[in-house]
Amino acid sequence: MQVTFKIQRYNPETDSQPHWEDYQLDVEPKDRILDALLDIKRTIDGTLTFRYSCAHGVCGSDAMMINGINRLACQTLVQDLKADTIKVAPIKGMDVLKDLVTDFDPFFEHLEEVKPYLINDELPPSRERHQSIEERERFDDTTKCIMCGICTTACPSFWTNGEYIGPAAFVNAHRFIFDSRDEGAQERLEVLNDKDGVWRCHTIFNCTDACPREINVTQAIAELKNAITFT
Amino acid sequence: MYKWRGGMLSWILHRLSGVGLVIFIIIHIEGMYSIAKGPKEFNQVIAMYNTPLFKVLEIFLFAAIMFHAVNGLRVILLDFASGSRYPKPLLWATYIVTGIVFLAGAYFLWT
Ligand code: FES
Repeated sequence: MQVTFKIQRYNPETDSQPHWEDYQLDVEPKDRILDALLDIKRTIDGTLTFRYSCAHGVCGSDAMMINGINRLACQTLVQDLKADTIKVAPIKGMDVLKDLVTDFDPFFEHLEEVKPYLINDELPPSRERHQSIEERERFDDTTKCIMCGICTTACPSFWTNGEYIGPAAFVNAHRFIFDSRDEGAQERLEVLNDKDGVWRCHTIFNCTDACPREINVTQAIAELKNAITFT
Repeated sequence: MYKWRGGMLSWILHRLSGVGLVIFIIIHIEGMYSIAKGPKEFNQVIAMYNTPLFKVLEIFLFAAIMFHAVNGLRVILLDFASGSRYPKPLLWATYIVTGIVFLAGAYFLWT
């Protein structure tokens, strides 16, 4: 089938503003958007720039806004979109470096703020730290995060305020705060209770709707709000 | 443009109705202040409140109050009662409850 790809292009060396460019492509309905982008790069315009790595929804490199919703290009089929014009733009709220590539540095700085690693001063027992099935279940949903940035850049609170720590960092804070082996809950909750923390979440659900790993991000944030309020 | 979905619409409406209610409070306080000045002013203000324009505004006010109140309950449920596990049903419930109460109330306000 014939599809028109409208892709937002930006070359910092020659352009002052991003602009849209059209590409006609013959694709199979079961092709992924990533396949189509690679096809354009190979056969039409070799300067088209985007990130990808695993091509299987694991590395989280190829988040982009496809037909108005943040998605992974490697996980979105042409037929999923039910459209013969497909618009591809970089995710919102981050600086665009080139074409579909955005600057993730502030994103990872926010992630670091919530200390997304095990905090426990006690030495581990001679073997692994034990955990019951229920204790592991408590934070199962948030272990699925691949840090693709889709949730954070789908959030209107983040678009208007880049200082907002953002849903992706909250998900990773949740993953450790509710881990029975971890002892850093209090210091993380203090960061989350900051003015750019969880209280800027207005339960809009763009993050949860868009998450490619189907994490209920809003529920995780609600649990953090409860932890701050009631502990 | 990011695609609009239910949650975003509700958030914007919540903000707009909130701003609307603040403006109403100012008009309301001004009205109460004028009424207290004397019989002449009292009659003037009441006459103004009875014009069709104010009736329409009153119905808008009622819509804003109802949406803001019901949606506020939804947000409390989302944040503090695991409501975020059921976003879609809660969204629909908000619009249905607001709609029913609004229609019933608007009928009485108008007649
Ligand atoms: S390329 Fe790795 S997630 Fe899409």
